[in-house]
Amino acid sequence: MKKSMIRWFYPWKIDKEKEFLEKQSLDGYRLVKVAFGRYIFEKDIPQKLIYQMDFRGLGGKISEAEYMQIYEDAGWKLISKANGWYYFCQEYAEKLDLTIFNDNDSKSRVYLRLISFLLLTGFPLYFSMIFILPRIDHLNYYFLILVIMSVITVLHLVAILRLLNMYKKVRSHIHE
Amino acid sequence: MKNGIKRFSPLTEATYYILLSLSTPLHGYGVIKNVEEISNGRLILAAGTLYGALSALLDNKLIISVGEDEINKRRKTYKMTDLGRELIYYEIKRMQEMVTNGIRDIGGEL
Repeated sequence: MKKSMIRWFYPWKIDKEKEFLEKQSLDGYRLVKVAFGRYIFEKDIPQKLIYQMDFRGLGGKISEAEYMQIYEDAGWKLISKANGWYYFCQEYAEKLDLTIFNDNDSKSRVYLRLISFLLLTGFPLYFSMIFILPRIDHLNYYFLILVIMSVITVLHLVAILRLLNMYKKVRSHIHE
Repeated sequence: MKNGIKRFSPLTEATYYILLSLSTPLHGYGVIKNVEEISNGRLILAAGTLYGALSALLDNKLIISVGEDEINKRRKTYKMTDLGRELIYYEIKRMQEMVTNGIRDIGGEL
């Protein structure tokens, strides 16, 4: 039996997302797919599963195949990928340290990858706000377009600021 | 500072051990196993940290890709560059100074 849930995921609240998924597994629902804010679970026995999410973004010199291999080698099973996010899962075991980051330095880099991804994808948005919008003010739907675009821009800016805040927060806990 | 390696210092413990492991060519999984062994099981590298460190070391030309594993081609092999070696030397000297000072000042109480 499958269960589908729609849920808004805030990238600066990764721990909340993790908690939500782990609670589902205790209730007997195992995550099988994430797509467009929709979570699909399959009925299973109640068990303690540990979920971890990582944002790879646009990637770098290391290929996706190798990235997934590194996680697999560390015992993680890839459940799903959605918008640059990778959802990994592993059965809970008392003796294992089931984290994906040893230190706050590497943990903070997730936020840096998210911010650079948002800045890059936000470029067309800001470009059209500045250069295209002033030129189409004779259109009938101009006001509607203006309102929608402004809302998206504000949400985009808020997301960047929240992520920047998380980045600083994690960095401030770095002790050599 | 020669070639500006000072800007990479101090390395985190994980990055230091990853770079050190690559004095001989190894793939990611080999690095995890090596670090676990030389730290007597104390440091188990986590996947995200290893991926992040390898990416950063590659970007800064402290390591280079030298091939792939024969059995599993998705495992790439890396090796420390001359610049990486210089950085390791710099870090060893820096930490040696810390240890020497520590032992001299309160070592008697160990």
